[in-house]
Amino acid sequence: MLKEWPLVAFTLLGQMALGVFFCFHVPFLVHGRVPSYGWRVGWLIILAVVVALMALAALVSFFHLRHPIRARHVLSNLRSSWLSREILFELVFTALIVLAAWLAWVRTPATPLLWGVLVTACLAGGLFLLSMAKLYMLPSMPVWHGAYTPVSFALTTLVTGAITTELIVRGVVGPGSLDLDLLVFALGLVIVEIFLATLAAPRHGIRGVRPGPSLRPVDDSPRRCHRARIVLLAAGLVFIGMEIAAGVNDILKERGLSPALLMAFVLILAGETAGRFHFYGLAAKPGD
Amino acid sequence: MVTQYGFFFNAAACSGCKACQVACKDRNDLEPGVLWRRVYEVAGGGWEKKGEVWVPSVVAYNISMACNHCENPVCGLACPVKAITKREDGIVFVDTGTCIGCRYCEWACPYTALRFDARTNTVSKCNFCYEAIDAGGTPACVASCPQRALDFGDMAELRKKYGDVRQIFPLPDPALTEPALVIKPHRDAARAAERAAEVANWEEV
Repeated sequence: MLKEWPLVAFTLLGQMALGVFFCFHVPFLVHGRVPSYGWRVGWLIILAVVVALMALAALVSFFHLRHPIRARHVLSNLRSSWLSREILFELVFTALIVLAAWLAWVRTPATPLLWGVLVTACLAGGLFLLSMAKLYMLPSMPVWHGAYTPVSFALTTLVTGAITTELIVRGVVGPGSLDLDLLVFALGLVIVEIFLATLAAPRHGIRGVRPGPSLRPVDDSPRRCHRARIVLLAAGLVFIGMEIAAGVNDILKERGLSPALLMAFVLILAGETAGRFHFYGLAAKPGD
Repeated sequence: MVTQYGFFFNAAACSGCKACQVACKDRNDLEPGVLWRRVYEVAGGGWEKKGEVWVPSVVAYNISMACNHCENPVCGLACPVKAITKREDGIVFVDTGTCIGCRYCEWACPYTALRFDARTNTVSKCNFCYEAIDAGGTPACVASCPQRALDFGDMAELRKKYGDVRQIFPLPDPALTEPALVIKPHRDAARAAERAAEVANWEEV
């Protein structure tokens, strides 16, 4: 299970990058606009964080490969391999974010162009997330071959994205026009995630899929990873609740980071990491 | 001309001696821990009350399993670098010079045929002893079986000779990959699921 750490890191970093991008940009894009000039510095920082997370994700993914040099051919089976497609959408998404950052940097007056680039990046990001999930939804792996995989990936994306965006905005950006209460959004999603994991997590959820007899050895996904995920997410939930109750959740007015918000970020990230180790532990490889 | 090579396995005849497993390792010079052909020992059952008497009701049989050179090789479909290809005669082949070692195919194959070889840092699997086949010979596993529980040949011929059973407990649904495999089931196989049988030798396979 622990051997799969590069995949755990890759998927978590990639999903966090997508989440930050979506949580920051979607409120603007659905109103047909891009962040205003007042957001420029913060916006560039957000885009830089997304690119940095994607670059880090790409870097750690190489640790998963035994022949990384040969990975230059990884796009050669787009016709049938979700792994090839995942890498393609990862590259397209990152390239579009870099392009958007450049356009934002040069303050191009061509707002429709920038809006188009960001919307296309949203689509590429969505396809990247879909590829990540489809990659694991193999008919040969009943524990992954269900709706739980894409739903849990999407929840991880939005939860980590919302908390990280809140942190960045609080830390570096002043008042602006972001009209989305990310902490309340994160709070709701963490509740959904805890409920879903308790109920439907494969193997250890109350109604989760149990692997039937097969030629695959019994998995090595310990129950403690599943429990750790739920406990850490619940603890993160408490800190998000404390932050909201303290009345400092309005990012239009509030600047600076609070200890409760930082704790919530750390706990949520730890919970997601435990959940992802549980996920990969569900698929034992014979001979390992 | 052969269009799809396949294996026949007679579960009723297999004694579980593992000669096929060892012959495969020997022919292909496999490292310890790497098994292209494996013998699964399926066992289960308990006691059953018949009238006033409790009698043992057990299931026990063996399954010798290698790559089934499937007609729909999902391992090859999943491989991002097309390192797994199918020859004209149906043999599914791993090109270790192209494999990047992502091991995604290991998850994709429901028969767990692909095995990681630490010597080459790539996946590897049964190649049907293609060099021997091309020279008119026999796969090592088939040649070594003292019970004649294994056979090979063109799938059309194998079906004609042995029937069309491709699944016994706990093999996956053949519709997933269309394996080039014909099985003669052991008599216990029909009630293995009901007797909660399971693979009893995970450490060996």
